Amino acid sequence: MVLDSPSFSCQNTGVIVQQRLDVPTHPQPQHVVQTRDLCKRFGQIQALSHASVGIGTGCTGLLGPNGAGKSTFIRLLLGLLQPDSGEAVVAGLSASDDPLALRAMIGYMPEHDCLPKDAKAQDFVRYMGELHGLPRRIAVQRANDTLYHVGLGEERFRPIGGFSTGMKQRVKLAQALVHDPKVLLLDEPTNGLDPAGRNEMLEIIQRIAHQMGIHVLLSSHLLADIERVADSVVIINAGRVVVQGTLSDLMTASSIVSVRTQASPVALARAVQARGIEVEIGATELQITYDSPAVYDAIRDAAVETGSSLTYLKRRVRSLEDVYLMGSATPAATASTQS
Amino acid sequence: MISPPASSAARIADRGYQHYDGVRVGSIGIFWAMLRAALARGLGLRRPHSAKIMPMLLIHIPNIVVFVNVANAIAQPNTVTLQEFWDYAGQPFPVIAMLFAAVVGPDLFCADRREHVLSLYFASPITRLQYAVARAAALAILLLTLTLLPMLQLFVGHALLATSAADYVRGNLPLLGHAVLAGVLEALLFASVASAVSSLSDRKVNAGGTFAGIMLVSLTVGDLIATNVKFTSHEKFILVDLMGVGMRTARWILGTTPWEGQSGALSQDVFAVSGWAYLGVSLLVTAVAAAILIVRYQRMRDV
Repeated sequence: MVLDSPSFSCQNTGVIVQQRLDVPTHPQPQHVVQTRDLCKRFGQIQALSHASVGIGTGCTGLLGPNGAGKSTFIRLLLGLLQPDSGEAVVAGLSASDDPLALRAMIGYMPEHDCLPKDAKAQDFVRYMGELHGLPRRIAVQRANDTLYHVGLGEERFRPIGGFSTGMKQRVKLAQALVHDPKVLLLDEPTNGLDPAGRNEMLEIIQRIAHQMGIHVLLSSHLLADIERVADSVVIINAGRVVVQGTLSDLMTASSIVSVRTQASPVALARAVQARGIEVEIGATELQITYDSPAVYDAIRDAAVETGSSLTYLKRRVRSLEDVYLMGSATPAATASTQS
Repeated sequence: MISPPASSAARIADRGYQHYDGVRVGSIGIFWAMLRAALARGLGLRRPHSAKIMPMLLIHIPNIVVFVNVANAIAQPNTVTLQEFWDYAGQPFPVIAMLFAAVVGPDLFCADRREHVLSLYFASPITRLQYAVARAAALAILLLTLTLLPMLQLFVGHALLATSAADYVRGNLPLLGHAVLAGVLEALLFASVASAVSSLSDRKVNAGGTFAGIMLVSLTVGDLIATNVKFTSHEKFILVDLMGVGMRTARWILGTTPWEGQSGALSQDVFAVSGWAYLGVSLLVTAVAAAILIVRYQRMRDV
């Protein structure tokens, strides 16, 4: 069943954060993963609360602190957990209605160590292909190809137990790819890798998302990883989706214009506020909320009116870290008041 | 001397990542893949040599013993007597089947949980029930090489020793059916109990030791109470002996009395317990163990 969620927005606080971030709220043209009001509770803990997400094509980063609900979200997408309410649809299939058909077209790379030590890499990847419905002969062929693509062409006949952490991560990626999934769910794929290994892994992920045409949902707490490979991002905190949008929109759009004056900024601040614009007075500068280019005109007019000479005026470019910190900080209070 | 290339047009090309739009097998095909993989794992195939030693040794001991007996009987028909089916179903061969289940059962179930591989398996289009059934079925099939294959060798041996092999086969088809039934029941009993015990621990040593312990303790306690302690219906305690239940059910199905050959060790009262009672207990234990296995895998969290 396909959801017809009307907007690219999230519940409650998510909407607020998105408005502050000046993110477009129109629906994405094509959603590979779509969830509506997804809720999951484990005993007293609300692991996921009314998560409505629309994930488009390419690579999407799933960000959030430890315990935010990322893994629960992924397990719900795989149909491994049943939601208390709401629905998840991946590539047009409902996770609740037909989890087996859905899993056949999803590749999953878990965060933790999950490989049999005494199996050879090629045997294991081939077996995972067979478990996803590939005929044996095809599975052998694709296991070889996939291991080659992740950089383990020469080592594929060695037992996995003797592999380094980086090689094991590649085997995990290969087993997720072998059956040619439509969507790839990667849970912390760079965990435990040295800088060179991490770099190589991110290059492979980038290639998968942008050259192989497989949609990737990359869960990570490493902002730099997401910033490097993802096209869009979903931030989860305390079980709530707090931010989502394309990376370029989130990072380049800013809601703040920083202004410094030679004299006291208070008069200028009042003059700007009188024009219906929010202003925050800092120690050295004014933080003026930006919602349209007309803000620049208002600042100019206020400066003329108060006789202030401006020494600095710049619209701040936000980093993913700013987005993340804002998203991580905002919902906690809301979540606690609602729980 | 380096020979010139066969064709100047030949070149190596990287085809890049290829999408797959071909046939995908359904749940039955996936089940067969799981079963095949479990059989190979049980035998230690495509694994280090240390994983092959015990299963191969245990499978070969009774089969080689029976094969030698058959070969000897054929070579020297006047001096060597070929074993009967019910003789094979008696001790010590069920002990070897029990040891095999204690070694291979935990290897099939515990390692996947200990190495957290189940999180990958269950993220593929299989159900937990399919996984558990495929593993237990693989163990039962491997156990058939101990509970049934030697009897099939004996059947062939008897046929070859008979005046007319074709007449022997025609005349003893019911016996062959009974041998298959006895072998299957005994294999199912050991496989289900070993699988159920293995589902309760992720350490192979613990699971294997517990399974062997259950079998040996039940044998000792059952035989001891049934033979030496005198109270009303004390003889029914022989049914507590899980090792003996499988063996005596097989002997009864094969057409002899369950206690044949054990009259010296057991009290005469035990002989009153019927073959139907052994069969009933055998089926009950198999069903309960299978239920434990399935419930355990359905409710397993954090795989």
